[in-house]
Amino acid sequence: MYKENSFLGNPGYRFIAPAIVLIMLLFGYPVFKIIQFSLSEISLTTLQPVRWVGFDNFWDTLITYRFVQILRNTFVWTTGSLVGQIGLGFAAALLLNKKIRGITFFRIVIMLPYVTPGVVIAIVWLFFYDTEFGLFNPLFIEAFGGEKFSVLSSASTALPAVILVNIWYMFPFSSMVIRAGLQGIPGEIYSAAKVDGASRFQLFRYITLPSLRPVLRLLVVLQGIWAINTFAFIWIMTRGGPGYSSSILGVLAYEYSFNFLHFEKGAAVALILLGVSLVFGYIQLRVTARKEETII
Amino acid sequence: MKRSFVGVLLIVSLSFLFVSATGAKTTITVMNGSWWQDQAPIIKQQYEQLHPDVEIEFVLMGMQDMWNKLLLQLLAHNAPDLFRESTSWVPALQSKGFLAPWDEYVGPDKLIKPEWFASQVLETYHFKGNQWAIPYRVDTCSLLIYNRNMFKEAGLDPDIGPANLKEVKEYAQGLTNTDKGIYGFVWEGASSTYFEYLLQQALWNFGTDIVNKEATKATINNPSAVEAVKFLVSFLEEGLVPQATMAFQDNQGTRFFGVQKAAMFLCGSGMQFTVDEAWPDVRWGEDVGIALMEHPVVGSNTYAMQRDPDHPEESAKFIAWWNENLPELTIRMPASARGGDWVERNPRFKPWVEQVALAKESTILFPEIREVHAIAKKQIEIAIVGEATVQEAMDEAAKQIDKALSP
Repeated sequence: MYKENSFLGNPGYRFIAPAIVLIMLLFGYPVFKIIQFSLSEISLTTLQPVRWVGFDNFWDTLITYRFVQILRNTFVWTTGSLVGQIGLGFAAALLLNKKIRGITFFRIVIMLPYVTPGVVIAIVWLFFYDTEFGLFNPLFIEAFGGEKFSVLSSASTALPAVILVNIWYMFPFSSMVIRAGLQGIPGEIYSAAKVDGASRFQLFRYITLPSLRPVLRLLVVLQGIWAINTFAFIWIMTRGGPGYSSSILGVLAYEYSFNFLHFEKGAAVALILLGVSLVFGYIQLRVTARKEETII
Repeated sequence: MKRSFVGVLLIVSLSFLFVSATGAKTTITVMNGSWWQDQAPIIKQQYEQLHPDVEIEFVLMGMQDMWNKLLLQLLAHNAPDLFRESTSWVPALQSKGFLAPWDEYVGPDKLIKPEWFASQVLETYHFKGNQWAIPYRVDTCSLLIYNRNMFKEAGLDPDIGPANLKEVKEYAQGLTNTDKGIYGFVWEGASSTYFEYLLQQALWNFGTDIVNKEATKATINNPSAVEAVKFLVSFLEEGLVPQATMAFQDNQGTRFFGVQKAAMFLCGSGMQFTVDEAWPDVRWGEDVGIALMEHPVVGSNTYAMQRDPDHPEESAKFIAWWNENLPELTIRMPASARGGDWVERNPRFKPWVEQVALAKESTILFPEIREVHAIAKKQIEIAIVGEATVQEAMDEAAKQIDKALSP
């Protein structure tokens, strides 16, 4: 009935058709509604557009609320989280990959932040950062000297402080994935390199790192997307403040939609966030892919 | 076979109809805060005893989640019959068409009588020609509590506290002792609702407001408002208030006062119990003094009815009963005066009742109030952290507020 090479004639396409339909329903419809909301004024009682306003919601969003600062914060938040999570995860994975007595205990302990609910973590860190009653200030002063300061009340430290929490929360995941990757590298390669007189650094640089590249690439994309869309820590710990110093696009979308009942502007910010995510993801893929081509 | 099946179906349907017509109860769902968890079963039991045909179903949740959950339920047309609202929620939800008016049930000869309520508390929620919410609790965070021992150490008369915010600053300058890590004054976090009350109180102290009376234009950048904000910012600049109160954390101010690291604190009636927790051996009157303040901000908790209520009359009856019996059921300041000798039986609340009675100004309610307050707070934070001068920050706030208020 259908040609074997045609879309409907290919059994592969027919097998994945239900999944595609489901994805279109679950992803396509909400995206359609967000686009519809962002281009119109909507009635909250019917959730239907009452008036088309073109790109007004986008312009309003871009003009007000220090959009450039929020965009910059989003970039800093995503990049900082990503670098920290993967860097710390890598270091932890290398340590936990050693075959020493009691290592299983540490492998379990290191997973604790990741399996703890995010809200609990945010509240614990709030107490940790507390200027008068928290542990952060005494530890910081002991290590570096200086005077007590309020980490979350300062425009220069609020965002880095919350990035640190996000790193602490997610690095066990990176560590787990990287360690799985490490265990997939055949020991013979290391043995052969050692016979050739390779140093520890050379083993890492020319065997470990290239072998882990597919794993790292996956982590960069996954954790990049998660970081750009995560805003719970910021919302719980700083509400994006002081001022807009720790505000990111996710916080802005939430504030517009749920605090101010401007779901149209919230939708516009969400679409901008989607665009930023796509650009960010594309750049990540391009960069990691290029490295792969040149090294291997 | 087919005929007998239809017969059985008919009998079963009729039986259900009969049972539902004779024995079914009217269920009223009521959303409120988790702090009602002890009283809710008692209220339910008492009301259902009096009204066997009605079932009260409480849905209790934390304050942080309440707005979002309520909003999602309203959007999904699945909201409870009655729900608790803060002052600023009422115009915001009304403007979006989520609320049903109460006018049919409020009046001298109706279920809910205006004379039950203290002056202006009920009228606050009467706008655009309708009554949109019924208050059940009233409170103020404008009353000042102070550490009498610190007053004595600073050479101040512990029997006389400041009477307005300007005097609070003068007292704070004398009370702050950086060597001992003691601050003269503390307020609740800049990101919390309490800061809105403080800002409002400061603006009223300087004879101005965030917006004009018609809520059509921002006034927060007029000279008096800028002076009021400069005045607030100066508390932080001069180190009279801990920077830590700028962090978003509940009960930060209460804790500072409770552990005796701050000498003065603007305190709501319910917050006195949090002070008790932070300062377990506190003796109110001996350790802690109370000063009534000028230009207090009064807020209330209300009940609203969703726009398509299933049982509006039963809901109104319940709210009438609630206002009548609330004073007996909880230690919260009731909005209704029907408690009679409630204050005598709860003497710790007397200063707050007196403070509420001193209120002259009332908060201007308008649909964009939540956004306008948020804009003002953000810009004040920007001024506090030094990213802009107060004038620049307030000009920016006014620009954003005017945009938010524009039709």
